Amino acid sequence: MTLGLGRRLALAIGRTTPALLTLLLGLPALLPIDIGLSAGVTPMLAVVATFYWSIYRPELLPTWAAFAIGLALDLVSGGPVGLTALLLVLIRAYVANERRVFLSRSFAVGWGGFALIAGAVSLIAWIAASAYYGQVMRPGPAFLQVLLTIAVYPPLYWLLARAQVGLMRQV
Amino acid sequence: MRAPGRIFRMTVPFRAAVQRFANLLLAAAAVGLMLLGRVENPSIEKLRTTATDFAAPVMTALSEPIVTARRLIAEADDLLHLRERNALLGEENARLLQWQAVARRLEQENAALRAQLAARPDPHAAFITARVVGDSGSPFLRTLLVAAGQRDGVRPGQAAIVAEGAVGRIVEAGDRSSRLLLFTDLNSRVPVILEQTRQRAVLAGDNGPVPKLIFLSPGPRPPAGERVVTSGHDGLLPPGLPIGQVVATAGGDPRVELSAPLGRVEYVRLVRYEVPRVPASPRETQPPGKR
Repeated sequence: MTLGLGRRLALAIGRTTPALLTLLLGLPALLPIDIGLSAGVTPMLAVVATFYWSIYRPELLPTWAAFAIGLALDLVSGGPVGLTALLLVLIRAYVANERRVFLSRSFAVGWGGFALIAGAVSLIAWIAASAYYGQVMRPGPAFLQVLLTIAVYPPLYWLLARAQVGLMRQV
Repeated sequence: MRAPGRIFRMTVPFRAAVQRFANLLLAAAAVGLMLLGRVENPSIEKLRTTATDFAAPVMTALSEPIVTARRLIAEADDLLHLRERNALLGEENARLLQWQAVARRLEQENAALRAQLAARPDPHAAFITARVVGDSGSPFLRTLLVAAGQRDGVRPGQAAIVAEGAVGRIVEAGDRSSRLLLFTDLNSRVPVILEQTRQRAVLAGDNGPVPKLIFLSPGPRPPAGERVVTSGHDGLLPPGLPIGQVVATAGGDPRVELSAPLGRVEYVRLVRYEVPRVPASPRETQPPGKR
């Protein structure tokens, strides 16, 4: 029996939601918005999205998709090509492997785990950028960015959970 | 959440091995790309300009609401401070009229002196005005994405200015988009000259808000407030573009506060400037007068 057009469309939307949302959440940081903090400091929304989907629907955000999204964001941002791709691949690979730990615990534990991972990812980015440019980067802005990312985790988690309930019921 | 099914469970060891290998491969590919980019591989640059060309219209559409919001806020601010601003503008206008008279006199004097000396006029500069549609979104670099490219006449090396002064120069130009390296970026080095003391220096960004002056030519330490302009010695930027003012620092290299508000740049003017070139040839090594 073939599926109706409406249902097939709903399925397609549901299946692509994780990857599309992760890519879309990477875009606000690239817009010329000055949020009043130190220049270039914006929350790493794509990192939050990758973390979320790696726990709840890793099969819909495969590692290659995380790589492709990271690469696309790198190419548009003008930074070291491959850096964001590396970070998202690492998050996807590690978190999907440990997802049972996060699935069975409370939100607060998930938030704490995310804080640790965001810190680790930022440290890797800082080291990689310092090596890439051959100069030690100022740690202040990177640290501020981690704090900001940890702060936006709860509202973004809620939003992603809404999207999962709303768009992916049939998937 | 779906519980892993029976089939899934049966193939777990095999799948896990494949997965682990794929993850490693992708991570290695990402690192490989970074290394390629580090040695400035042309294919990476091509990929980047193609990607920004593709993304520029999307970014333009996405930044539309931000532009509107910013304009509304500015409008409301204008309305709230209408009286003060009016008084301020009246004062400024009176002062500028005096300056206009001075400028007219100097212009005539300059023209007369140039005519006497048969001085060659500076090359003509033309402008391309372009919208800023993106930034780097990273604490590790200071660049802007501009919605104009090669087909509009944008070329790498062109200076970008706003009303308050110069902000940076074009480093990559795609077909319809280009990337602008701000003076505050870690990789930005621009030869400048101090307006009063005529000391030369290089303005070096460090990703912070106030870039520093390095290789300052010998002389007294520049006082705070001294104006800094481009010197044109790099053969890229036209000379005399205002950049900013020296700020007081306790020690170390003097720093420059840029005149332009880098966080709120909506449009930039790109300077098409024909740099005078000395023909590079072995004849240059001959003693002068023999040519």
